[in-house]
Amino acid sequence: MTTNYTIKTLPDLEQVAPGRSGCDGCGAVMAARWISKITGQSTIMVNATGCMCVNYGYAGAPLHPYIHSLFENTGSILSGIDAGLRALGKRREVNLVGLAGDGGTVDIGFQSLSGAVERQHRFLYVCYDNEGYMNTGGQRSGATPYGSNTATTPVGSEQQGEGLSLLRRKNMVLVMAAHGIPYAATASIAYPLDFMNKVKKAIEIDGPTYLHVLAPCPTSWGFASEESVKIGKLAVETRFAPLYEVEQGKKIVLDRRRSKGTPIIEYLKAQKRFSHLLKPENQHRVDEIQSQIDESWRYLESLAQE
Amino acid sequence: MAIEFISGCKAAAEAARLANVDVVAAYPITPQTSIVEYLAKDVSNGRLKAEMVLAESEHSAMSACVGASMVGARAFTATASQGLALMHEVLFYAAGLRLPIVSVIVNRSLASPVSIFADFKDSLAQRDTGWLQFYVESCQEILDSVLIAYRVIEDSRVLLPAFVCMEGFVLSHLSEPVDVPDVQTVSKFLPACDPKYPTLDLKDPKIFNVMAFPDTYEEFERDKQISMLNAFEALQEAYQDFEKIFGRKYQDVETYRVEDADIVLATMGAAAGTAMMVVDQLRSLGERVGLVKVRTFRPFPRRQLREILSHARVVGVLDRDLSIGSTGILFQELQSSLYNQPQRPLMQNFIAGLGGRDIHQGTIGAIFQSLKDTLQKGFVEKNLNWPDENREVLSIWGLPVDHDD
Amino acid sequence: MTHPWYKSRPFSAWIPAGLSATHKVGDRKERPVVDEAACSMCGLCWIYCPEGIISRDARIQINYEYCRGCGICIEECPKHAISFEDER
Ligand SMILES: Cc1ncc(C[n+]2csc(CCOP(=O)(O)OP(=O)(O)O)c2C)c(N)n1
Ligand code: SF4
Ligand code: SF4
Ligand code: SF4
Repeated sequence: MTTNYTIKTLPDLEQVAPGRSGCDGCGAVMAARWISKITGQSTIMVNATGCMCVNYGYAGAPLHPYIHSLFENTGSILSGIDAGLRALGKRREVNLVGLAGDGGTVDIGFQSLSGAVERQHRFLYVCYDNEGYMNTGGQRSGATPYGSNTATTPVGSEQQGEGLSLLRRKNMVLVMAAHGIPYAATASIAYPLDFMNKVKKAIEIDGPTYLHVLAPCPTSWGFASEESVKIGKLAVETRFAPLYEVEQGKKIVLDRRRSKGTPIIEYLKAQKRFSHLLKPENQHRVDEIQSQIDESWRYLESLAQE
Repeated sequence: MAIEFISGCKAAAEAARLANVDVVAAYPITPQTSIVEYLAKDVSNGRLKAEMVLAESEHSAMSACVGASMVGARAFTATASQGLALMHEVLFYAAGLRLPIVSVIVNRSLASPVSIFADFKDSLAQRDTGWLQFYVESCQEILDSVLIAYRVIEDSRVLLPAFVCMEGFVLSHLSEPVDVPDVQTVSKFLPACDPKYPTLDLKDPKIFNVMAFPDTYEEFERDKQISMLNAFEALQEAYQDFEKIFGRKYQDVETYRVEDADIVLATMGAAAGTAMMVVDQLRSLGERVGLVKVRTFRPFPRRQLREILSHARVVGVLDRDLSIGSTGILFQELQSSLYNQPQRPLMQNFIAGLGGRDIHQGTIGAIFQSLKDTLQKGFVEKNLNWPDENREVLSIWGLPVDHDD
Repeated sequence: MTHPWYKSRPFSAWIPAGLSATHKVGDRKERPVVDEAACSMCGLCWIYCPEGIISRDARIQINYEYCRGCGICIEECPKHAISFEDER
C-alpha cells in the first residue's frame, strides 16, 4: 500500500480537457475530473446516460478512451471490457472505471451493476449522486431525499414534495458492501483529497470496488454555483451523507470527525428544493428528517464498532 | 474433419469453439441453453480458451459482448425468445458501434401465451436493428453459418453484428450427422480476430457513442445500410472460399426446381426441407412447381429474388411469423421487392407453424393447391391464408374462419 | 455542425478524446482575479475548479478562455486572495 496523496503530491497532469458543457459549479464534473486525475492515462471509462455523458462525454472532455454506455448497462459493459481485456492478455494495462448518476446506479442500472460485482469483475464504479434524474430535467429517482421538490414530486396543495422514500434513501454503499466486494465507500465532492485517496485505494484492488460520491447540483437543488463545495460539506457535517468505507463487506470505518452533527435544518435551508419545509406547518417534517438522520447515524456507528 | 452425430445446439457451440471466440456472454433460456453449457464445458476442460461472462440477464449478456468487442475481442452469444426481446435496446447499440458480434438465435415464440416452441417472431421482431440475419435448415448449416458470419461481418466492408437463426427443437434438439472441421482448416477460412473498427485503445483515445445531430444522424443510418448491402459481396466471396475449403455450397437464396416453374413457394428455415419433398411429388405429377429458400434475410436479397422469380406466375410465401395487423414478414419483404417488376407474379401469403405447430407435407400440399387455384383464376382471392388453422378452436371461440386483410 | 473527422467509414459515432478544448466556453459576467500577494499557493482553487483550468506552477493562473465564472475558487480560497472583476 502506497502513501496517501496530499494536495502537493497530487499529479498536475489532467486527464480532462477544458471546454465541457453543462452548468456552472456542477459537482458531478468535479468528481469526474478527480477520478481520472488518479486513474491516469491508462483509464478506460464507461459512462451511463445522464448529465455526465452529455456535458462531459459528448463535449469531448476525457483525454482517455471513453464510451457512453446505455442508461442501465454500465455494469455489464464493464464486465465485457474486463473479460475482453483478460482474454487478450491486456487486463493489467488498464484502469477500468464506470461512472453513472444515481438514477443509472440505484434504479435502472442496479441489476447490471449487482451482477457485475457478483461476478468479481475488476473495475472501479463511481456513482455521482445528484439525487435525481437531472439530465432529463430534475425528476425524482430512488436516491431523491424525502421532502424534495422535484419535477415529478412538485409541491402542491396536497403533497409536499418527495414522499415516497420512507424518509431514508436506498443506502447504496451498504447494498454494495453486502455483495462482499473488497471495497465500497462514500465520498463528497467537498473533500477532494479524501475522494481521490479513495479512488487510489479502489483502483489498486484486483476486484470490483464502488464509490458513492455526493455531487451537489446547483441547477436542480437550487443554490448558487459557487456554493457547491459548501453544500457538499454541509451534507457531511449534518450527517445527511456521512463519509465511511467498508472493506470486504465487513470492516466499517466511519469518519466521525467531519460529521459533527450540525442540525439538518442548516442543510435544508441552503437549498430551494427544500424551501417549503421551512414553513411552520412543515416543522414536523423537518423533525422527522432529523430523527431519521440520527437513527441512520446510530446505525452506522453500531456497524463501525469493533 | 470428422462426421459427428450432433444436435443443432452442439453444432452452434462447436462453431463458436472453432471460431476461437475470446468472450462468451450469455444467459440461459430454453431452447438455447445447451449451447452455453457446451461452451462452458469446453472452457472448463481447456478445449476453448475464452472468458465466460455468465451474465445476470440477456440485456447484460449482450452488453458484455459489446464491451468485449469494444476492446477488440471476438464475442459470441446465443439466446431466444424473451431473452432476445430483452436484448432489443442493446442490439441497436451494438450495430451502431459497428461491432461484429455473432449471436445464435434458437427461434422460439414469445409470451403471452407462453410457448417454448419455434416460430420466427423473436428474430424477425429485431429486423430493423442493423443485424445481419441468416436462417438455416440443418445442423451442418448452423455450424457453417456461424463461421461464414464471423468472416463476413469482420470484413471492413461490413462491420455489423449477425444472427444465425435456427428453429427451436426443430433443429436445436435434433441430431444429425455434421462434418466438424478441425481448427487448422477453419483458420484457413476464418482468420484470427483483427478488429477493423475503432476500439477503446489507450494509444488512440476516442470518445464513443456521442450525439449525432439531425445534420448527420441520417448519414450514420445510410452508412449502415450501405455496409449491410456490401455484405452481399463479402458473402459471395465467403461462399466461394467456403466451398473450396469445405466442399459445401451456400447461397443467400437457395432454389429448388424453379427454372421453369409457374408456381413458386418461398420460405425460410426448416420448412424448406419438407417443401422440397412436396415439390418432388408434385413434379412427378407434372406440376410446374418450385421452391425458394431465403437464407439471408438481412440484408434482404431483393435483386436475387427478382431474378429468380422473374418467370414465376404465382408466388406463395410461407411465413412462420406474422406481423399482427398486417401480413407475414417474409411476404412483405418479398412483395415489396417484386412490386416494380414489369411482370409481377400474383402473390399469396400463408401463415403456418406459429408457436411450434408442425409444418407437415399435407399443409404444404394444400398451399400449392391454393396457389394452383389462383393461377387458374388469374387473381388472388385471399391474400392472407391460414392453411393449417385449428378449426375446432376457431369455432369454439367464434372466430371467423374466412377473413382477409 | 458536421465534424471534420467524419472522414473514414464505417463510422461509429466517436470523436477524438479532448475535443472539448476547441469549445472556448469562457463566457462570464465577472472574471476571478488572483491577488498574488495574498495567495499562499495552498492549491485549493486549483483542485476545486470544476473546469480544471487553474494551473499552479510558479503561481496560480486562471485560463480565461475556459473560465465560466462559477465563483467556486473565490468561495473556497482560505486567504480570500481571489475576487471578481467586472467583464466588459
Ligand atoms: C432506457 C432509458 N430510459 C430513459 C432514458 C432517459 N434518461 C436519460 S438520462 C436520464 C436520467 C439520468 O439520471 P441519473 O442517472 O441520475 O444521472 P443525471 O442525469 O442526474 O446525471 C433519463 C431518465 C434513457 N436514456 N434510457
Ligand atoms: S443539472 Fe446538475 S448535475 Fe447536471 S450538469 Fe447541471 S449541475 Fe451538473
Ligand atoms: S486557494 Fe487562494 S491561497 Fe490557495 S492557491 Fe488559490 S488563490 Fe492561492
Ligand atoms: S470561477 Fe469557476 S471556472 Fe473560473 S477559475 Fe474559478 S472555479 Fe474555475
